[in-house]
Amino acid sequence: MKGQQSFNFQSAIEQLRETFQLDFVGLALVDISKKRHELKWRYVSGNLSTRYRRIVLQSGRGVAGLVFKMGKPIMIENVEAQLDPQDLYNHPIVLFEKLKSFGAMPLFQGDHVQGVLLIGYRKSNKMTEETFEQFKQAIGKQFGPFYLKERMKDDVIE
Amino acid sequence: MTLSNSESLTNLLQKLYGRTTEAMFFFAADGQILSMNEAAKEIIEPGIYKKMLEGDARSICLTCRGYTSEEEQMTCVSCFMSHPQETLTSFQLYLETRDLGVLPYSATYQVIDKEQQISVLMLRNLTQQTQTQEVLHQKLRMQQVILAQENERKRISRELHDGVAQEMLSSLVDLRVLKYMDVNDKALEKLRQTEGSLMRLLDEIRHLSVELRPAVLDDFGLEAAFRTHIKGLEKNYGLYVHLDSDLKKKRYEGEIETVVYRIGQEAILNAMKYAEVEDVYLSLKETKGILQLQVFDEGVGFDVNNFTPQGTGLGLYGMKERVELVGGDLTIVSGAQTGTKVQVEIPVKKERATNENHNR
Repeated sequence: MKGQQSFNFQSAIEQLRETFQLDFVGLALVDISKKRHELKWRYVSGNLSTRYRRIVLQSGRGVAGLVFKMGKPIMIENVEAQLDPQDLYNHPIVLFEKLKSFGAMPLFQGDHVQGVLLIGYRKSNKMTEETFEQFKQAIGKQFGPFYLKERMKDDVIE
Repeated sequence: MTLSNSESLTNLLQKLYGRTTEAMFFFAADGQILSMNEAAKEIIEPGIYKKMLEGDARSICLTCRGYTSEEEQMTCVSCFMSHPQETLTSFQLYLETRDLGVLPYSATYQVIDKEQQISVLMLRNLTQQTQTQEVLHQKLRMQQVILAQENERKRISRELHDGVAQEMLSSLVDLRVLKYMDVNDKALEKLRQTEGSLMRLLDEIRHLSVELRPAVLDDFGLEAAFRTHIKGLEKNYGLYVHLDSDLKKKRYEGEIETVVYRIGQEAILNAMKYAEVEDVYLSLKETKGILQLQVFDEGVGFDVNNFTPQGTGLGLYGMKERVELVGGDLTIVSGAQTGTKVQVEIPVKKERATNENHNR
């Protein structure tokens, strides 16, 4: 969309990774240039595998899918304690990248979620409410062409 | 050999009484135990046995846990002891036994001396038979459940695919038409976004439908169904499944196709969950009237004979049940170093009544 090309997402997420000493940063965007409108991981930094490339994210499934659907951030301080290991295959990015602690937030354009930003550590309990909040503060209200906000109850019914 | 004198018959009866495996109790009119044989002594808790010898009326109740009526498994309602002068043949009685807990017995209660009101209770251990029956019953029930589940899934899947998804598609087409009408930029932008959400929603519904039960399985058979499933796995989980099949478009009985598909699905899911691999191999072939499915990976295996299920353990059980439904064999070979191989072999029946073709 407007600005999606001009903004350098790769260098932006790499910068984020460095500033916050993150192990992994991933940015999933809806692709509107093609007809499919698919949500996929487009930009990553600090990845262990390239398996993420195969995945087309489904709204409501997995970490990114849930954030995308609800328009609200998700934070997991300790993957082992908070997510059922039986169910972890439903969160492929967490599994492939061996994330143990992470947060993910929706990126808005207008009233629509157009992307998901995921930041994570491969160590438990490193992502806390505090760090996540600091992180959101640091990014500010805008990330490239996107806005960081939370979907209010009323926004859902448009 | 005939028994001429009554002496030897008494002798034989004595032996029978002492050595039979059937427990016997003799009762007086008030339910007092007059005598019991060795077999009876053996099944009764020593403490209770002592009390029984004291001759209390109805001391049998100390060990009896009720009989099976049409209403209840174990009940004391209209107990045989409440009508001591009536003969009752063959009913099921539960006794609290020494060491083994409550066991079922096939019982016969007979009055043998009307004048002195003496009766006998004979018990035959039914454990084995009950167990056999229970297993059989459970298996039949399981098969019914599997069939019912499959049919219901098929119904909902069809509804989603033919009904909901079609409706949505026509709305989408309408929306696209709208884009080419005279609308301003702001409206166009909004239209694009709505189109996007609708398309994702449509994908989601199709996905649901396929997950419930792929229509391809019914319409095009096993190979096509697996290909669709594999594509979905790659898209959703980034898992590569390498399919090697020589079935082409060959079709089998609906029941067999369902079983093979479900087991393949389950085996791949297991590999994905536990084997920690990116690649799974699946092969389908038919040789000499045997349809064979193999799913193998080179990941973390497990000890087939002695493992603690990480999940419910029901997956493997369910696979076995399904294979048995169509008279096939399930083999699972796994080791820590070698990965896991699940193999199913099902004899392909040629002729069978078409009404058993549930799935087509």
